[in-house]
Amino acid sequence: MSCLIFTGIILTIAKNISQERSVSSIYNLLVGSKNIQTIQDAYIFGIQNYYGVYKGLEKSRFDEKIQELTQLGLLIEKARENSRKFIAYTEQADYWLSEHQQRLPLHYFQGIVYEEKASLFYERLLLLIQTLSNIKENNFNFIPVIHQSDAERFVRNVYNQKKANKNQYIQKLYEELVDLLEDLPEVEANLFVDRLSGFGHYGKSIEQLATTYNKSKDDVILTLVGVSHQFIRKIESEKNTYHVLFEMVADLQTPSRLTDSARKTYELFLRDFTPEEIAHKRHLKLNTIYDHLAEIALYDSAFPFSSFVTETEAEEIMHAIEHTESYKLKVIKDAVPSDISFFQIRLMLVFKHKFREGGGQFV
Amino acid sequence: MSKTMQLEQKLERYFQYDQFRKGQREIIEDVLQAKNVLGVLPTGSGKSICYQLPSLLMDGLTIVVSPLISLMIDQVKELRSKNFKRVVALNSLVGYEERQFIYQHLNQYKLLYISPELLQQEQFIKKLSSIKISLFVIDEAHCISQWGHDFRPDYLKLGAIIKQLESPPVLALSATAAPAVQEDIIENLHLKTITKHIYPMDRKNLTFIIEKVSTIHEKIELMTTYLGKHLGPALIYFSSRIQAENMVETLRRMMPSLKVAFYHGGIDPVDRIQIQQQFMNDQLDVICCTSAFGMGINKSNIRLIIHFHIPSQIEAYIQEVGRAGRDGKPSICLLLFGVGDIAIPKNIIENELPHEDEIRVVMQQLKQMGEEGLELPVRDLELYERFQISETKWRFLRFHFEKHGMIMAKNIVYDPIQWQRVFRQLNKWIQSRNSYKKQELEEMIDLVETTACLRETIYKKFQKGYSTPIFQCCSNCGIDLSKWAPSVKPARDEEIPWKDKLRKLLVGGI
Repeated sequence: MSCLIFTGIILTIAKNISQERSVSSIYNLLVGSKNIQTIQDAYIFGIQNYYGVYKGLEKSRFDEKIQELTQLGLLIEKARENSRKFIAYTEQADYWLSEHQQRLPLHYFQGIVYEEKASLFYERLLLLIQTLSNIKENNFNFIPVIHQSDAERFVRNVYNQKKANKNQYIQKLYEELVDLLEDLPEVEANLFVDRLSGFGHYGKSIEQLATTYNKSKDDVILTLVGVSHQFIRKIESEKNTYHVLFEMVADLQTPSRLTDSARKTYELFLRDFTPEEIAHKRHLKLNTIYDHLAEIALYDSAFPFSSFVTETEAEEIMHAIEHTESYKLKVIKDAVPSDISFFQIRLMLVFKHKFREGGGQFV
Repeated sequence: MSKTMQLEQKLERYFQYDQFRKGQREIIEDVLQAKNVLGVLPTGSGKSICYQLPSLLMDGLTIVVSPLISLMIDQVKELRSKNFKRVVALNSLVGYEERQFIYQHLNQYKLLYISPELLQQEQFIKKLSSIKISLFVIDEAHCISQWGHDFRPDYLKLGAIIKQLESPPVLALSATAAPAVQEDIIENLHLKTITKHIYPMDRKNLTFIIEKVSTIHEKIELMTTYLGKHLGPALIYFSSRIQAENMVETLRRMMPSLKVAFYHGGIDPVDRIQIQQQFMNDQLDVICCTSAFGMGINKSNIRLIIHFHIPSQIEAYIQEVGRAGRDGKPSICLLLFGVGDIAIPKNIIENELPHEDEIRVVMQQLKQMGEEGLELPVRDLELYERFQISETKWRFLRFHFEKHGMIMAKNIVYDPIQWQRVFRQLNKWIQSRNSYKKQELEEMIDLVETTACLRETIYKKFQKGYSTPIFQCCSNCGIDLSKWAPSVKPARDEEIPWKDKLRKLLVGGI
């Protein structure tokens, strides 16, 4: 039973974080933890595409998988630090990845942008197809596979709007789906369609798909998620081709990842309050405000890094990062003059990431 | 037109059934006269119609307390699919916003399913008491009694809640309530008068077979022999999730022509519906499951129910075999029993309620939290993770701590004498609960060991005598399987290329 995608994703993440973060940070990334550390790390290490791609992953299953990869010699367990477990990526893993890279659909994933959108889109699609398939046969007596208010609302609206020319709408939906599915490898298209329910027919469960396609349950789930991401990307970039499908995603926003509290800080920050003033105003610790600012720095393309870090300090920090080859705050802190703060280091890590993506300017 | 005729027309109009089943009309008529009713009807006799129909005919909201979230969701879906739209379920799966929406629009619903946990909220009860409650239904009412096989401490508060709601008429329903349990239900609900409708629970179309084996291979062999004769819808019950999953693989290997899948409480929500409905829709022959499967399942042509492991009580056994032959045709209930099998249910019993040392640790930690001036967190999860006990154990303890005033809202109220006393009382109570459950298990084991008629042994706790079986009675009375010829067609599920499948689903035809 093949479990290539799951292995490929874990190894890719392990490669990128190269012992800088504990094993549980990989888990947090995969399940899409809302923790700011997880989101920041995702950008810093360039693994944001895998954010939230496996939301239902159970911790016990994850641990089991890590153990399996360790036994295979693809990962090595490193010494524990305060009961946190670290792992290293091995040469063998490098070999494994280069050997499988071509066949793994890792490029489908765009977790940080699509994770939420994709699951809503997928639920809407499952319910829409089931509903239309039944209504077309005048059957209003079926058990919906999705019990989720967003999808229910969406399908109700579609039904009310398209009732009059529903056959045309269904035909259009069918054609657009075929168009998308034809771009996929045969196995993926079959797997995707096998999950669908409709008139007189209920789709396969994850476990049944796993047996049919000789894949692990992890890979079935990841395939469905990856395909949804891939679909949305195509739909959004070719709105005019995928008219009906675009209506299914048009109202779904990519969520702003700022926490509510950070958002309040951001509002004050935009009104030119200093961090100290914001802390005072909001009855929060100064360090909390710094946390927020590091968070804001990730998303605000005009973030004024130079208000918090002088050019000399910036150079010191960048130099220390290169020198220590580390993204660990503590390691970097030890390698710079003591008057440079953790906050300044965090900002520079964000800056470095943005710079690499071509979006940042040290202003 | 007579009154009963009118009821039948309503039944036809709202639920598309042309007549009432045994007991339904009698209960509904009493309910419509605002009497308090206790109804004990065998599984598969359509208990839910007893409140679903009145909810439409009475003015106000019908509240249904139901212990199982999945059951609630299924019922709501089924009602909505029958065009009964003014129904809603409130349970822990419903998000904050949606819950608020439901609270605001309560008077627009006719039927509200709710979990006993959510019904505990003071704010919500206030809200409910401001609208007219036509009927208060307690489904699976044996949960109220500590002698019921599925006792839930939250159910004990229902009596007080009914009073707070100004005592609307009550309908308590159960499929398995022995006389002692019935008395307990009535007492705990504090009802002065109640009309009882108790119907015999024996099913004359079931044949009971018990086979004792010494190895698991023998069990598997017997299981496949029966499945081979049958080739149609069957259920196989296991006592653990993992064993149900593993057996699916074995069966697929040994009997490739059968369509087999598993179902248990741990599977994904979409899968839960797809598997259940594949079975209903004859895409699947056999489901390997735990006791989580079957509540509310209404497939009429299940001909074979196998218990791969011994259930822990006769009540649970009756409920599970009750899913066979709902269409009244002869069906077989096969119980496989191996020597080591008693260990599993014993273990489950011993670990269901907290142990003495667990209670001590929790109380010590609570005391310490109280001394540090800490409040209890809003989410229970944080607590039971902190105490390292299961959610059920914590819910059980919390209920008792609240009952004895040791926890009041978010505050911990420490009183050494009181706490000591509760500690002793609780342990004593748990011991008696556990020994009661062990005794129930003993009854199940006695059933396996007996040489007397199985049918008589199974039902003797609930009723005197039973109807003459229409096929063969049981393995102790003697059976001849060569005469068993269920005519059901095996499941079909075609494999066609994706494009054809999608076209068939959406456009139709090929």
